[in-house]
Amino acid sequence: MRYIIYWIRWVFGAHTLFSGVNYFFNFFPPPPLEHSPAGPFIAALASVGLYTFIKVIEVAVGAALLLDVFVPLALLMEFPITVSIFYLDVIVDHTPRPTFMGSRELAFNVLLMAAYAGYYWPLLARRAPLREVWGRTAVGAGSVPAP
Amino acid sequence: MNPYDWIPYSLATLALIIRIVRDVRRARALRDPTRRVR
Repeated sequence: MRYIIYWIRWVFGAHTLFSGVNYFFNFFPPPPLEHSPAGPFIAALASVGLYTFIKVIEVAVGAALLLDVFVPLALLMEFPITVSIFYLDVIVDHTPRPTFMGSRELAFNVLLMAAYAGYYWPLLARRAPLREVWGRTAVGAGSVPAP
Repeated sequence: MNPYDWIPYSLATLALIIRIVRDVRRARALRDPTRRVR
C-alpha cells in the first residue's frame, strides 16, 4: 500500500507541476477549452489574473509533492483547486474525458489526504481555544494549554 | 497521446521502480552483514 501511495503522490505531483509549469512556458499546447462550457469561466479567471495565481499554487504544490516536503499542507492547498476542477469537469462539462480527469483529480487528492490523515486530525478540534502565532503556545507546543 | 497523461504516469512509474529497487537492495544489505551498505 505504501508504494501505491508513493506512486499516486508522484503522479499527482508531476501532473500538478507539469500543468503549472506548462502554463508559464507552454511546452505543450494545453487541452482546448473553447468548446467546453467551462471555457468562459476559465477565461474570466484568466482576465482578472486569478488563473495565474492558481498556476503558481500548482507549481508550489507539485514541487512539494515530488520533493516530499510540506506534503499535508500542499494537499490542503490543492484541495480547493481540485474541487473546482472536479466541478467544472464532471458537473459542468460532463463529456467522457473531462469526467475521467476530474474524477481522477479528486480521487487522488482525497486518497492522498486520507494517507496523511494523522496530520489533519488536530484540525477537527470541536472547541479551539486561541493559540496565537504571537503567543507562547502557538508553535512547538505539544498540547492545547489548560484554560 | 496527451502529454498531460503520459508524462506524469511515466515519471511516477520510473520513480516507483527506482524506489522499489533501492528498498530491495537495502533490505538485502541489512540481511547480509558482509555486504557493504550504500
